This record gives sequence, structure tokens and C-alpha cells, in this order.
Amino acid sequence: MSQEQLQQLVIDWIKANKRTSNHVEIAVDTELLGTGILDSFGFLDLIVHIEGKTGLQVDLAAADPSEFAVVRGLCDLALKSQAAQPCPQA
Amino acid sequence: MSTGITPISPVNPIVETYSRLAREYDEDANFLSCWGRASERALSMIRLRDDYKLIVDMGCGTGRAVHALASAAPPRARLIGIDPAENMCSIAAQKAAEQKNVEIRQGAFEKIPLETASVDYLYSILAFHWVTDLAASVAEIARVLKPDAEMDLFFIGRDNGREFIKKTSAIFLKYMGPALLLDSARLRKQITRETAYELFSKAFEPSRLSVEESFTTYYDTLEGHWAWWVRVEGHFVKIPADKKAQCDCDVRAAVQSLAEPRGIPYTIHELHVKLRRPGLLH
Repeated sequence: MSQEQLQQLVIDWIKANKRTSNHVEIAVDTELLGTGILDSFGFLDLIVHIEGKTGLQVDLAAADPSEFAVVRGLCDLALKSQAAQPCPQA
Repeated sequence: MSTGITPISPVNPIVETYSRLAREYDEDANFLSCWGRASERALSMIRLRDDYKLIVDMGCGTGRAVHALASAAPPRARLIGIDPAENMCSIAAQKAAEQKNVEIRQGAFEKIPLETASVDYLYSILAFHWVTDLAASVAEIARVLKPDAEMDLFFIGRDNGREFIKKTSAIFLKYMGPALLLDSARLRKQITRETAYELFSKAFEPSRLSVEESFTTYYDTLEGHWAWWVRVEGHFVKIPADKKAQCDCDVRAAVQSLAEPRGIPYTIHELHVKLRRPGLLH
């Protein structure tokens, strides 16, 4: 899955499940936790959604707190597991 | 003094925290906090029918509610308070020592120490959101209730404490890191009204069941709110000790920034799962 595809998957999920009632624009650099768009329960659900839809694993132990709560940072974290997958044998 | 209460295992950090803080639980600061007031509000909504024989308080804590209801209970009714925290049970048992119709047992929603189909009325005040397994807990409640039993469960919902969460989540992320922050979220089961209805309607006849929700904003001082912070301390035990003081300081400043003329607001999102005999729901 490409970075752009994953970012769109995440943005679509957030738009459908955000905890704020007011209209907010969700972009790749939107901070999600401090703005109240998602809470920690929402992050748990989002991670389950990412892992279920993509097969990627979000390694929270490797997450940088300052990047984790931003769409781009969360997607990059998930994509790291894809990069770490061993190449299939020919 | 032996209470005859056998500890349950394995250790749950929430249960351990509540047990450790049991002596502080009945202090005025806690009683007067938003949680104390919400608990009293829930207690005031409980009505005991004359034909109840066995009444159960799940998550009875130090026994405040079961103690209060015992004096107003039907003459032949027996009340059993159940809580997973050993020290809470000990205090509740001491309070109940003079009340012949009250018994305290150690147990949890996931494994209720009662016989199948033995309970006429089960209530719980602000405890169900701490269960570790929602489906297993509902199945266990259904197991112990008689076929025509009634129930009132009051617990916090998905959108509880929005003001504080918005202000403090980024701070906890900073001090705990993503893994610990999400671990702490996993300790609670805060669900929506719709999810609660779906969950309980699998075990109970929908025509006898309702799930109501309320949003009540409580205003208090910073110290007033901080007094109940002990109740969620279990979430934060994994914050490194050298960071705890600074984290507390940052959280207090964030909470204080919410202050309005009436005080600092905290909105409790409460779910009320009500089970009634056929035809008596409304």
C-alpha cells in the first residue's frame, strides 16, 4: 500500500469517527489528540482499523510521541512495518 | 481481623489501585466530587420492590450504597455487596457488621460469586466500565439473574470527561508515550449507548431492556477535581517516577485553564442500562 493510499484510508476513517461535532478539516498534518478530534479510545479503534484493512502492524513501542498523533506520522509508523517485511523468496 | 474475604487473581491494576486507596474512598473530598455527586444521583434512582428477596450491588466499593439501601430494604430481603478490591470489601464488611441482612463478597462482573438464577435485583453504580471483558460480564450477569429479575447499571459512556480529555491527552502522550497511553485506554471499557444496547440485548429480552444516557456537567475547583484523580491513578502507574511530578504539574495547569466563573467543568456521560419485568419498562 502506498503512503497516499494509507493516508486517505486514515483520513476517511477519522472523518467518520471523529469525536468533535464541529466541522474540521482533516489533512495529513492535522494533529488529532490535542485538538480533540480523536481520544485514546479513538486511536485504539483507528489502529485496529489500519491493521485490519492493510495487514500492517503499528509498532507503538517505536512511535515518536510528537509524530504519532499526526496523520502523516501515524501512517509512516505503520508503513515502517511494511518496509521491515522480509522480501519474498523468488 | 479476618474478613473471610479471599483475594481474587490475577492482579488488575485498577483493582489494585482501588484497593490501595480504599481508606481514602469515603473522605469528604471524594464524596463531594463530581463522582460522589453522580453516585448519589444514581443511588436516588434505585427503587426496591417489596418482593425482592436477593439484591446485589456489583462493584459495591466501601459499601456506601448497599449500607444505605439495607435500612430501606423489604423485611425479608438479603443484600450482597460484591467488589474485586480486597480492602474495599474489608471496609464494606466492617460497615455491614451491624446489618444482619447485608453480606459482602469479593468478586467481579466477569465471575460473580453467586448461584445461577438466584438474584431478584442487581444494581451497580459507576463500576461496569472497569470490566475486562464486556461480553463475559454481561453473560455472567444474565446467569445469576432470575428470569424475571430487574437491574439498573449506571456506568460512564464513551464521551465521558470530554473537557479534560481534550486538554490532557497530549500531555499524557508526552509523558507516557503512545504505547503506555493506549495501554491505559485499554483498561477501561467506555462504550456508546448504541453499543451498550447491542451488547445487553444479546443476553436480555429487548422489550424489557432500555439504555438511557445523560450528560451532566459538574463544576468544581482544581483541588476538588484533583481529589478524584486518585480514582484514575491506576492508569498512570507506569509513568516513570522522575516524570510523574512534572506530568502532574502540567495536567493541573491544563485543567485549571478550563476554569469558568462557576468553576472547572467536567461532564459525566452516564449510561443507564435498565432491565424491568415484562410490561414495566416505562
